[in-house]
Amino acid sequence: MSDLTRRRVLGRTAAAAAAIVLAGPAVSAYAAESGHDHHGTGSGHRPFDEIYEGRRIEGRLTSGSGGHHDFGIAVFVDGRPLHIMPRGDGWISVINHYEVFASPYEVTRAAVRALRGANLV
Amino acid sequence: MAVRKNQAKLTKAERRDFVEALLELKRRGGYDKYVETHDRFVMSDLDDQERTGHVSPSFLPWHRQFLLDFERDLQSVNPAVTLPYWDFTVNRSLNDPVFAPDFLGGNGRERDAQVMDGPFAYGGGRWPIYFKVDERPFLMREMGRSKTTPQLPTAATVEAALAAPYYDEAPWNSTSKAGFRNLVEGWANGNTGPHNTVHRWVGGHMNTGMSPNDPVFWLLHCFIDKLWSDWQRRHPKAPAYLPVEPVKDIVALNQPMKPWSEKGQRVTPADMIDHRKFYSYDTDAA
Ligand SMILES: [Cu+2]
Repeated sequence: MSDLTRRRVLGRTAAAAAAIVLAGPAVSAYAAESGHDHHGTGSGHRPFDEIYEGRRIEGRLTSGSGGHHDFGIAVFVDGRPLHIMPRGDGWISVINHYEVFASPYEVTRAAVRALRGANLV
Repeated sequence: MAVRKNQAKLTKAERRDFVEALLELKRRGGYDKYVETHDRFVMSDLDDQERTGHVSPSFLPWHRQFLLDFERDLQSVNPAVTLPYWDFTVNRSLNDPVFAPDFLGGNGRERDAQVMDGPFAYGGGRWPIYFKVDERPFLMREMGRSKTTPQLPTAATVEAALAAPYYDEAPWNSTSKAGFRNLVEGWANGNTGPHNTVHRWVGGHMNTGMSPNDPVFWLLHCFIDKLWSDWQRRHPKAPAYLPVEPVKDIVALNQPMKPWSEKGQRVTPADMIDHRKFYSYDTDAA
């Protein structure tokens, strides 16, 4: 069964590596409404890199040729990619899949709280 | 015809048979493909792109077939087993027998969210987690600890969905305002609907894309499935599924759904509308 885990790891890494593009329509719509979001800007995302509850959280801007999972920003916890996606006018992640947060920054912080010190795979 | 029952009405033997079938399917390696499939769709279902399992009209027929496949696998272990449903508007306490050690087991502990009792506790050695979001190899729950979701959905929330006069509406995603599908899936009204709320309230794995790691997933979705049938009975003149005509990125009434179409199996929303072709609920009129 460790095959499954390995494939899962590869899947996540590949997804993060592919996350390179301009902000899509969902992102633009979100940015337009993001008065409540301290980390959004009118034109897209603001990168971040800080320590939150002892974990390094990063939001790196991405740009490139487009693709299914390119949302203009890729986020990481202690260097490991956290898969996030737009939902409505907010953001969800694979960790908080049924809860919508205002920004990639907020959904990354929520993941840190859920992780309880564990590493993403 | 197989009858799906309220979990609160199962006999002691039926509770044990259901749990044992889950454990045996897991042991045989037949469980985790459901976790993988669910996660794959969770990752690809987006509001403005192709979507099938979630945030789209086919949320209900997709999960109906997903549950049927799973139930058939359980029945290959024990033909007498059917999926029970959990009416969380009634059995809503952490002390409810649904979370007793002879059934689903209880909450995760504070420190790391690890479920410590019941058949799915890591210490029992029979429920390792293979499809993980993080390194933790054990089943996780954080029931009732979410600051935003301290309570399970009420009967009034479920009633609000059942009262919806039509099935779904444009833009056929998480922003659809008032159709039954998005009310019951839960994104509508500030993400307060029953299905999403239960995922958040249970927390741990249930709040993740790998939510079928927690067997409570099946009992929740069985109840959501029953609600679709209840809604149809309540609104006999409303089309049981929309849209009828093809719309970009979503599955219309007579279009095939993935992942079954990828395996050469044609399963359409139309095929899934009448649950009585496959099983009955204990509340169906005789
Ligand atoms: Cu669900």
